[in-house]
Amino acid sequence: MKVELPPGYWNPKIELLPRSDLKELQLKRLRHAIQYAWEASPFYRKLMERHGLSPDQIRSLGDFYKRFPITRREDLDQDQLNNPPYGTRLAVHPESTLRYHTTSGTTGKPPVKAFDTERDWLWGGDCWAASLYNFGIRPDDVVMIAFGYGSFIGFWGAHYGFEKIGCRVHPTGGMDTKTRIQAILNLDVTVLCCTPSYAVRILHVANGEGLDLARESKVNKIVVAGEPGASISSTRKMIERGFDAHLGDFMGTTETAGMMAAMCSKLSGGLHINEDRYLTEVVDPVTLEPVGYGIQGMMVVTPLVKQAMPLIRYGTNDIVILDPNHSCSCGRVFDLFRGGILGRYDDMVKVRGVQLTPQMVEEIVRGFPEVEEFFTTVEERNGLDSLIIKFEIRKDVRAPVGEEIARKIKDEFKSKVGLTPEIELAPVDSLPRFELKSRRFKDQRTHG
Amino acid sequence: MTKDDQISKEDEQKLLTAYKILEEYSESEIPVLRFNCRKAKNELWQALFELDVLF
Repeated sequence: MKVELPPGYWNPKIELLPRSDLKELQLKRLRHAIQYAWEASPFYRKLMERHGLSPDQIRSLGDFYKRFPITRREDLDQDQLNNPPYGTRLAVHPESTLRYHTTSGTTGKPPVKAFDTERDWLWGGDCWAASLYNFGIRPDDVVMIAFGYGSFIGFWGAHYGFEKIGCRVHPTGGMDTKTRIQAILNLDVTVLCCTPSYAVRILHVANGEGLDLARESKVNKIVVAGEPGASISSTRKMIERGFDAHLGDFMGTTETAGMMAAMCSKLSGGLHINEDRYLTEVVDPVTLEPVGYGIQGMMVVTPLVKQAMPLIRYGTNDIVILDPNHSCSCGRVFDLFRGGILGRYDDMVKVRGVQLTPQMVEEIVRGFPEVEEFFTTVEERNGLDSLIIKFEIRKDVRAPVGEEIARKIKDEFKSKVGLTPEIELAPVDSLPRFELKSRRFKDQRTHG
Repeated sequence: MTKDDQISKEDEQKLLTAYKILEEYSESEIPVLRFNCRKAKNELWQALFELDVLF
């Protein structure tokens, strides 16, 4: 790698607390958040009343986990639908808010509308700044943020986080990929911030232009969020090698308006949860019972400070595995999500009895650096469920190599997943490209 | 200011005093003072909240 990541703590007082003190701090903040939601957010007042709950009944984290109902995305959608335009979660007048954002809308559902007050926004930016600093970002870094700067929250928080640290930040909303690559070279960019998919896209376009960004650019750190790509080892390796840079995985959501978890400079493979700002749980997606360390489950999150739109025990559908804080050597008190977001329960499909996620496909296909882009569908063919993987090879790779790769992907899929896909070589530039929230997986079956 | 990475009670007191001053000027009739002090006050609140000094 071009540089070593500098160690350091953004907030040593809190990050080095004993675990029992952290739990006390969480409880204090949680009780305040619940009291506030009870008083100011009609959505949560009604929810608590419906469950016979009042704030004074939550005296411990145990009470909270046991008694407070989980809110799901469907509940937020229904509330917005029944109470247009913003729903009843809003705890302040819209006039007193500072920001308005929406979810990306890539799931096909109507986007969730999210407001932030000035304090929420500062808090969200600070969450990002803390995570960026702990990864190794410093004031002398030159940053390119490659996203559209639209109403989707995307990397807005990152922009403010980098600025808070004192970095020079280059927004590149209107630029195409070739222009961004030239800017990376001309502006001596040291940090690239984008989705993992887009980092791969930049590498492919640079390759097509005869550029080697590992050698010719000064990019030494890459901050990715928005997709599980950094937890997919083949994608991760491709990005790290392509830029000769450290890859930091960051995770957050529009609804929580901040950075929930991120890798620290030790790069242990886990993402430290910002537990002083978020109370997270990992539960069984069916029983909603806690699953404990080391077991895959659904992330449930409560931001501990949210003025405009409180969010309490939000079931995200994200698949995570919790590890204890000591599994990283940095000394932080915060537990970790092993490998970040591993996928989503609502993306999981069953094909001929095999549970499949888009990440399982990406893990195998990205293991072949000759593959430029790919797209997966599940279809009914001749009355049978079939998995079809279409892929494009790089322009500089000859067709016979593509046929060889198709055979290898098929073999690897069969041995690792236990399913034999149909592999199709697609013409160059025929498959969709993504800047944000890639959707390379489509279940086209008409039956459930 | 404290030299190690922990904040002292004296530091906390100084920061709280600064917060109160900014809070006062956040109500100023003079826009340049009102808006800049309000922003600075909220930024300082963020730090004090994260340090568990102010709630």
